[in-house]
Amino acid sequence: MELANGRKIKTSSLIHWIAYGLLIINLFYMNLNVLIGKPAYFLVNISLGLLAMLLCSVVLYMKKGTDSTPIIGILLNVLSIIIVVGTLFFYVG
Amino acid sequence: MKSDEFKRKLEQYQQGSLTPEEEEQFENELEKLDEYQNFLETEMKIEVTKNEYDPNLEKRILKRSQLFAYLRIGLSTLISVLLILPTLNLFTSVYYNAGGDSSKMNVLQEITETVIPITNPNVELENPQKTRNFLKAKYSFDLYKRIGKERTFIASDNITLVLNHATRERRNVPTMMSANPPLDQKAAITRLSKLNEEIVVELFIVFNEPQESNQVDTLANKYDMDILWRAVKTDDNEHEDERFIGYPENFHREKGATSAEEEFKSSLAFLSKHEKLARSISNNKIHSAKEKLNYIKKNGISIVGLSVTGPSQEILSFIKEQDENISNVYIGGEKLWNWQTEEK
Repeated sequence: MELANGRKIKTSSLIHWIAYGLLIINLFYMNLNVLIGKPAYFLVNISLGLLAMLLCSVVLYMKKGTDSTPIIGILLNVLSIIIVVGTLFFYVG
Repeated sequence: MKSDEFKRKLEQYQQGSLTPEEEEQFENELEKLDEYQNFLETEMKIEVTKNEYDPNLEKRILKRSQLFAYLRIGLSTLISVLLILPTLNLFTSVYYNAGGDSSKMNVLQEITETVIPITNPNVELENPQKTRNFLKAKYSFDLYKRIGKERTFIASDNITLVLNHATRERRNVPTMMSANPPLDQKAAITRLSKLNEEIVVELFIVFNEPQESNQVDTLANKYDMDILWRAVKTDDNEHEDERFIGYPENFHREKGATSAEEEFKSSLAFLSKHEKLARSISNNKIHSAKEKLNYIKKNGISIVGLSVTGPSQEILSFIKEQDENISNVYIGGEKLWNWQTEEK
């Protein structure tokens, strides 16, 4: 993919950025859950987490294991899903 | 042309021993080599130019690398910061809610539901709500009292649990004894006799001498009124009326025990295991629960006070009947007639 200034951008990098973007959006929603005191967005959280995990796996496959950041991304998304499901499991009220 | 052949022909060319035909062919070969040489030199020049040091290019590369490094550090920091709150929230959930019935939240609820009826005459706990805020658990509820046959809202209250430390929002529940001055028997008779007979009241009677539970029942059954709460003698010390502890009349029905007295004893046994929390929730009314329980086991249950509700004139007759047996009377709320006599 070529940008307007002539520089080329790799598809894998683009997917990588999207995956991290989704992770950050997911984390914002998770914080919102804490602030309002109930897991109102837990479905959004789980969906975004799974999607970001999928994109990180695609990047990992495309880069053939030359970069560690997709693995970190996958681990962060797994952590976020554990937090959401765990909080939901112990939610009272 | 092979390398050996070329060398041999070159020697012959230098010696001038080649035929004119061979000489011409060899010169053509040498010309080709010159062309190869020229091409290689041109290519090498381009390569040398490419490898030349360019400070602007280096600056650009460094700047881009720096930008990416900043971006990565910024994103890592943002992700770490955003993870703090949900992670701590999960730990809070696990800390307060894990463990089923013996979880901290459930224990807090059980202690509260035991302490409130024991320490407050004619006070019932309604609409319990368990919430968990950041790093703390909160148990909210409403307090009601009965006047006649109707229940009246008193106040909302909540208990906050931070780790093992409970704090009650309301230091003092406005009960009969905390919100009204004590009256002696004569003053109480004067005041009650001025009430219209269609008024129902709630009041708390403190006896001069402890009474047997059955004796109290016999006395009260003669009148059209309901006993709501019985204050129990739990030690030999004299203390303020407000610090009485006792049990509601329907204590056993809610918890499935055989009698209210038995439920009171098992509640004291339960509270003795959670002395610190019970003390905080009861605003220091419950202390040394184990000693109180031992005193009751040794001396039996003696009633030192009684919370009753009913038509004002019925209660007036009851107080008149008690002669000098009453030390203090606290008249709580009154309401318009809402009484329906039940078959006893």
